Amino acid sequence: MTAEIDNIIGKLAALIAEENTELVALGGGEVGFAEIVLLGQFSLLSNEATASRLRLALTHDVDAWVRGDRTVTSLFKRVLDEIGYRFDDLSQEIWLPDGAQFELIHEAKHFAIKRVDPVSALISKAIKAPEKNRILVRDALKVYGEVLAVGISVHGGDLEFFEYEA
Amino acid sequence: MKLDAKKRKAEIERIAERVLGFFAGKGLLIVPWVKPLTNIKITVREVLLTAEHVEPRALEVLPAAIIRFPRSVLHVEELPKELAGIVAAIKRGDTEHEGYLWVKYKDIRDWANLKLPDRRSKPVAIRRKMKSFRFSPDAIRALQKAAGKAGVDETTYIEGLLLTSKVGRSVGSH
Repeated sequence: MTAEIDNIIGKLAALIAEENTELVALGGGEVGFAEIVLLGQFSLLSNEATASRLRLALTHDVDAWVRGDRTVTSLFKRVLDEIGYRFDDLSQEIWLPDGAQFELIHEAKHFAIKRVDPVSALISKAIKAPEKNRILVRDALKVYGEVLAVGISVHGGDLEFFEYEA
Repeated sequence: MKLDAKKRKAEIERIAERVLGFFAGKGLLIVPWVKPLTNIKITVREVLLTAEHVEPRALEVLPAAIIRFPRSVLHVEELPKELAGIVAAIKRGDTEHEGYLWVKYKDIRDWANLKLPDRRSKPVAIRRKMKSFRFSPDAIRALQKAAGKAGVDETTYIEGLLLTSKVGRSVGSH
């Protein structure tokens, strides 16, 4: 998955460079800046440490908060489509617990890519989509233990549903 | 854990690795911890077992697997009736339908239309469908003549007429 992230970064940078060349040739300025925050399953899989500790599976859905320049945003979606992923347009509505941390993966002149920390991503899954993530969260509780259990519990999650025993 | 329960768990794990390996091999799921398998057949019951005990997302891509790889997914008659209804709805091209458990119909349908590495399998949305019409002998002669003149087969000629007409363009743009 790290290779996939590198692929996305490379393709996005190339498309932005093309776009800038055209804009400048037409007498305009370059594209602006956008921040892409990877969320959900894609954020977990892109994190090698997490992916090596959990048995993860991913549909071709990419959840991400994308904020900033519209051209960069649409080029990011185009890159995902070209390499066989689907950007989830409902991503902006994804809930994260207070205190979620964001790790910077890549920063360039026109875009930055970050990803949410794994515990916050798992709390979000446990609260907002428990059925779909029952087995993942159950297994993650064995890896992350109390930190994850407390996070789920304080946000109203049902630890018994995930077969958690303190 | 009793020996029987251990055996059962090991059996489910073995089945899940095959099922998820198949989905990974066909490009329907990304599963880094299994070996991708392409030349195997799986059963609906194996997928349901995998979804229940190991990876619920197996359920989300099962209809896509049935539609895209019909010879590789066996015992489709064991599909829960709601999922069978979803498979039929996707094949009909329905844009709206009930989801199944926690899975939205739109998501299930999108995976049936995904570009896959296996180029023999076409997304449902671009698959050609058989349609028959009754034309008068004069219309048939005119069609044969026009298609011959254009150097294309009759189907391509009709498609061309439809998609370049004002009505065809407005339908195609949706």
